[in-house]
Amino acid sequence: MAGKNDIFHRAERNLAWFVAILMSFFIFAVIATVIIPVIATPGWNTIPKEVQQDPNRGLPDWMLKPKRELSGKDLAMRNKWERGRLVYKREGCMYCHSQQVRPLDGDIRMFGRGDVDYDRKLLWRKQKPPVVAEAWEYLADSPHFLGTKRTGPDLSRVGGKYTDDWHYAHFLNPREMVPGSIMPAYTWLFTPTGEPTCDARALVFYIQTLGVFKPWIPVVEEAEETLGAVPTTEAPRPPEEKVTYITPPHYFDLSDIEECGWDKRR
Amino acid sequence: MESSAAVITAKPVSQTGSYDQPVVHEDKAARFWLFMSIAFLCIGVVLGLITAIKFVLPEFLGKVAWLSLGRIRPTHNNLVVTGWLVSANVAAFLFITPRLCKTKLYSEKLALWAGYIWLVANILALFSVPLGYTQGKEWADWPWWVDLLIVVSWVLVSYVLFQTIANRRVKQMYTSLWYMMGTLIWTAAVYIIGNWPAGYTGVNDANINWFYGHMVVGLIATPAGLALAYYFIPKASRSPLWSHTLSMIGFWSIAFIYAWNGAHHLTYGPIPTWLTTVAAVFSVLLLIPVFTAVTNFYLTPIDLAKQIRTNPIVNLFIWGTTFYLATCIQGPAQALRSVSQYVHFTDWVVGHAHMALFGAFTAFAIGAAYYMLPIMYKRPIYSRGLQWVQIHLMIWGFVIFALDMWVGGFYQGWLWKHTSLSFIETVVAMQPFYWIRIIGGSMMVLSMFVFAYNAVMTALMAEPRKVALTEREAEALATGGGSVAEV
Repeated sequence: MAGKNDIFHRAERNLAWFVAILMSFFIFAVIATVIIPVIATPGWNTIPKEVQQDPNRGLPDWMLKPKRELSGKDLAMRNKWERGRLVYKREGCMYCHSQQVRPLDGDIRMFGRGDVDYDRKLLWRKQKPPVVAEAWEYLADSPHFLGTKRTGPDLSRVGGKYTDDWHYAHFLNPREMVPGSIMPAYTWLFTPTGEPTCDARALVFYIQTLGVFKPWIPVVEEAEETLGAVPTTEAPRPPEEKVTYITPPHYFDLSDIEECGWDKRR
Repeated sequence: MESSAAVITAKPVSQTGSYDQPVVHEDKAARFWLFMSIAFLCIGVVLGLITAIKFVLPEFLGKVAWLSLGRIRPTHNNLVVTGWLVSANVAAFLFITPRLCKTKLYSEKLALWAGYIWLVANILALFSVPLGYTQGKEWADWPWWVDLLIVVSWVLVSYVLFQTIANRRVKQMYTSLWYMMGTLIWTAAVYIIGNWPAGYTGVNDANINWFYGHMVVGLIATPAGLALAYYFIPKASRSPLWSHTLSMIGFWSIAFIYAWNGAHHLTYGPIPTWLTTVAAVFSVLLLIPVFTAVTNFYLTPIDLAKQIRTNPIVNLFIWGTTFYLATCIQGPAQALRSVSQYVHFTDWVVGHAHMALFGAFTAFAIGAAYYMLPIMYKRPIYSRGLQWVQIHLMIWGFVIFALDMWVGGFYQGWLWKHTSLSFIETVVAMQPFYWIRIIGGSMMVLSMFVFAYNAVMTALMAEPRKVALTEREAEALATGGGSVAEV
């Protein structure tokens, strides 16, 4: 045994050989799976061209630009959004809520909106419906909140689904709003009288931005619906003619700008 | 297979020089690391149980910020890895390296200091996440100032171990040493990459996070656990290693394959398809190192059937091997898209992760502790009966936990995919499974406390002998080879 002289047998007698082979394997893998994707994938670190050219899609400047270039309302939005993300991170929301809709039936059914059947039909034809997560949507996120476990529902399309007041009531007492929920009550985000603190407002502001930067809710026009109502055909409707996608109705609440000082440099 | 066990048999086989007198090992640093790890184990498992209870009683322990689910869960995750598993493995490294190299540990003092820094780091860490200081990435939650201490401590302990190996009096390095050196190098590299405070954004951050997250198991816990198994299984069962060649294939295939796997955590996610395909292919290739290691572990103990019944250490290691095999059959399967779409995001993954880190590697670490304690303190283990109680509580508690999580997780995934239930209805449907998990989990927690009690009592209370045992006598005691008189 000791006489064998291939590199692996040499490595078990010689420390330098051992470390050299080990590191070369490791570095090879890091280059292939961590570094090459950054270089080789369009849209990994920048907004892809087709999204840039589309007026309905893309992240706003106040998210992407360096903070020193922002002022006024943009800076306030950025500060409030960042604070919201910080609260989201601090409370560990991402351990129970994912932020990615996968190109799967179940995901679209549970987290899509509007004419969900239409999205699913697209999927059966191996086309990704817009409700499915795209890389550019996460460009401003650091750290990422893609998530790993769904104890609670996915949140990447929750923006605009509920009102701010619904969220405050839900954070204060989740089981009152959603019977059967096992989410903790976040009473420390509220004053003793039940008024939301700046942290709670920022968190809800952040939640309301999720999924509102592209149109993804399919709307089938009424007339088309009656046409397609012939129950015998399973043939999917051609997408260009009958379906439009809309962005969820949304607004960004900055009414607390004085109270919480969102427009101050921090 | 040939002269494979040359290095590990009791006869000193040295190619470089004579083996004049037996080396006296102090084991001071190893003792410190071991008991530190046991302390963090007790805290870590209690945090886990609190998490489990909060799944059925969300208001358990009141509405307190630092005890809320989102803060306790990551603390449990990270603490059982850095506080318990890695510390316990380092304790075993500090124990086996001087013995395999037939020389003294390079510096007990330096290793002790590394231990003190590690202790401070983990105590700070234990408070950081509940108080809201977190990096917010799974397995990388500790804030940067904790990471810094951890890296300093790791470099110190690696330096001591590498110097010990450089001073070795046996030319050929035994399998455990390869795995250990692999662990030392990979941990440093992977930990720094995963925790680097560069502010990666978006999908890139996710990819790096899961490169790191998977390597916590793959390149930190796995090689460390296998290093222990390759040393303690032959030692505890007093049998030569079954195959040297297999151990070599196993090690270098792990070294080549494991680091490619991280992206399978993002299957169907917003990353390029080729990346998850590559990860899936390499995940399946992982069956090679797994089967080589498992074959070696099962076939090494002579008269396995008898040893499992009479020798608690062999019993624990064989259970650990079985869970390792099972988790590594699940792993490649989960990396396939067809399986991933059922189990990803469900409680199945919780069962899977616990099987690797608890079922396999915690069993290895506890088995190692049972072997080391009598030798470190030169006295028999405090209670052999409690060892068996601990093993049965651990194994059957975990079997309940694991089966419950798999059935529950798969059911959850099936509900999502094939029914028209709303999400909240699937949450309610999981409640029975969460209750059963608490039963299994309580047994696991209890078992860890029995282990801790036994270890502490061995160190403190066992009757000191008038004449200290020699290392070989203590070894015989540790492996259940009967009374000292027989040796």
